[in-house]
Amino acid sequence: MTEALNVLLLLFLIVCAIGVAHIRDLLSAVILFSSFGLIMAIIWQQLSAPDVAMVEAALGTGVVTLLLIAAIAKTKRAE
Amino acid sequence: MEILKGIIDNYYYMVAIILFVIGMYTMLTHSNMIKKVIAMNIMDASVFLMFVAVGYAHGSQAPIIREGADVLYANPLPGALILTGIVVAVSVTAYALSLVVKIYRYYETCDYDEICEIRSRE
Amino acid sequence: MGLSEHFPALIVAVFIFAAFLSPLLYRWARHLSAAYLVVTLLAAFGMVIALLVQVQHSGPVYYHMGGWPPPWGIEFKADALRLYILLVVIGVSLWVFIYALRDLQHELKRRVIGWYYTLYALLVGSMAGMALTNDLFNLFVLMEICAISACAIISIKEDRECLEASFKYLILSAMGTGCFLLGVVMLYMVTGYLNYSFMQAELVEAFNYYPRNIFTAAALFIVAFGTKAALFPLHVWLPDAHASAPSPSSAMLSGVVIKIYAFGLFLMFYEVFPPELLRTIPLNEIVLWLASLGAIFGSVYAMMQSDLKKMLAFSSIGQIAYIFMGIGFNHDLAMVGGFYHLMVHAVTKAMLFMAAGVIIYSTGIRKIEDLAGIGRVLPVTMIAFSIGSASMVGLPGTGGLISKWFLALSALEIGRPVFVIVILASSLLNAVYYMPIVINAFMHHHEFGADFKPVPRVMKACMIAGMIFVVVSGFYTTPVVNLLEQAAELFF
Repeated sequence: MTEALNVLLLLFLIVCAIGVAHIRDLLSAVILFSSFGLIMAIIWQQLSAPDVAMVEAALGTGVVTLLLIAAIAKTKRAE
Repeated sequence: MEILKGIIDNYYYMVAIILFVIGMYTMLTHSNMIKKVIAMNIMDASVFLMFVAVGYAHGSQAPIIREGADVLYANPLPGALILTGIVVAVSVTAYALSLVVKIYRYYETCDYDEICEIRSRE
Repeated sequence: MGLSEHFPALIVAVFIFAAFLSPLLYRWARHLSAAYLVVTLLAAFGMVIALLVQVQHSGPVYYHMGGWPPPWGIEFKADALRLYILLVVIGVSLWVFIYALRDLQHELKRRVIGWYYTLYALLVGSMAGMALTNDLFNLFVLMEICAISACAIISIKEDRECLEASFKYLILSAMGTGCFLLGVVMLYMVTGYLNYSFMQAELVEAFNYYPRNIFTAAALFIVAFGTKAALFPLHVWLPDAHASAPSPSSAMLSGVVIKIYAFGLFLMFYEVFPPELLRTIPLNEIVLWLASLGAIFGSVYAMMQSDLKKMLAFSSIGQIAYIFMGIGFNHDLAMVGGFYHLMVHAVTKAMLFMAAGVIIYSTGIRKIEDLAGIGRVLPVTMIAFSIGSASMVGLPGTGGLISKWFLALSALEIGRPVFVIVILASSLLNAVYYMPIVINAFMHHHEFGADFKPVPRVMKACMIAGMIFVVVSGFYTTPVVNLLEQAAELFF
């Protein structure tokens, strides 16, 4: 059962990554990226590395998303 | 058949490599600079995924020692290294974004191709 | 013993302390901050010499961080070769920093100079760490510190070319570190170690079972270090970055930073990968041919430039190729030549960028064709430039000849005279673009306007020191060549 969940999550990662590359709106790309980060955190929890999962959720998803949104606010949103 | 079995057995590694290639391709070919920075993060995260997957053995548990329990623990070393890696990646991202904002002030665009055009016109 | 036991760690640690303290000091006492960094550099230089004496006396020194033994803890290794690289890195940094003290006052805003010291200390510290470390993940972290601080000493000038160039540099070096870390994972997967020595011992056996992992890692390492050291087809970031930076930063980046990555690739080839790898797949052949292409094309591109600093930057691509040739020949004489060139080119290119900086400082000229007749107004600068050019071309009496001599000798010894032709051709191409500048500078008469500023004494003294070093390295080669030959015996 968990195997199936892991494979689903991994597929979702790939979808998110391709979505980030293709979407025209930068803010949507950032949202997709932050969901990418959260799924990555769940996968790391599944891989028995809870410490890494917490750091990814806080830094890799939280702080980076904030930074990206701040940068978009200071520049242009459309590509 | 053997190759297919290898792929199915190592699906974490396969996904990590696919993500690495997607991230690297986007980072190098996309002209928007913020997109480049996001892709850089995807690329880094994929390498970290691969590193953590190396430390995981099938059915292993989080490396927190419980007295008396006879369980298989995951290798904690990759996790410890990846913590450092994530912090490094975040700081590179912050620096790259600060450059993007500064560049936007001079060129009024985030598009790298447009910047090259502006520079070649001068 | 006491303190001297901890020298390998202290060499890196003093710079990290300096990085934190110098901007604070700069707030209260500006001169004290600069003096503090000079003292730091001198102290590190002294420690490297002390270690070198100890290593010559009683063999390599190993230092375990925090007392943890190698497979778990981080290990620093100080052998003669690494200490030689450290001497070059720290010596050139000290020299460029003294020049920078004066030059930065007109290139940067006053309030950021304190931060420049921080970045400078971090850059030197991370390079010292990269030369000393014996642990792959530690190397990755130091590479990232080096990449950020190298980009930041370009972008600190905050004009549009600098920002754009350093963004390009940052993206490509992020690609480099990404590839490097992926390669490390590939190796960690099959060995379970990150320490160079343990990994090599384990890889000898693992090579029979998992050759594909090791091939992939080797390819990724070549891309990673090639990007960062500007090996020929991966050099695209270098010209913009090195040309637009403030002159002391250009001197550092072109003089030292790219070399340390070339040295990194050397360590990967000979201290991490198993010896069978180089016999199975001709990795060093790939590096050798790319380097030969770089030696020719770097010079061809340099000929087409009209901007002085851009020309010097393209010339670096041609010159770093000699160091890669030294790695690629897989032969002891070539290694001596390559590493001798590492020292000579570090000093020469730093001196040439200093001369370019002085020209920009006192006349504001950047275009090559405006330089005609400048030798009469700036005699010391242009004599330094001429001696530097002579060393780049490899004229007798300069250090450049010695390294090319060793490389050519080893090409003949392994029976591949085609590379002698490559070396000769690229020297000739170097002459084609360096010599006209020198001749025009001294032969023409030209009046320069009233905006001419006299050259500060410190800058002159730095260039004179460089000139003396380049000439001495052309005649008095014994100590360095002996040291390198001893080091080469360990590898070949």
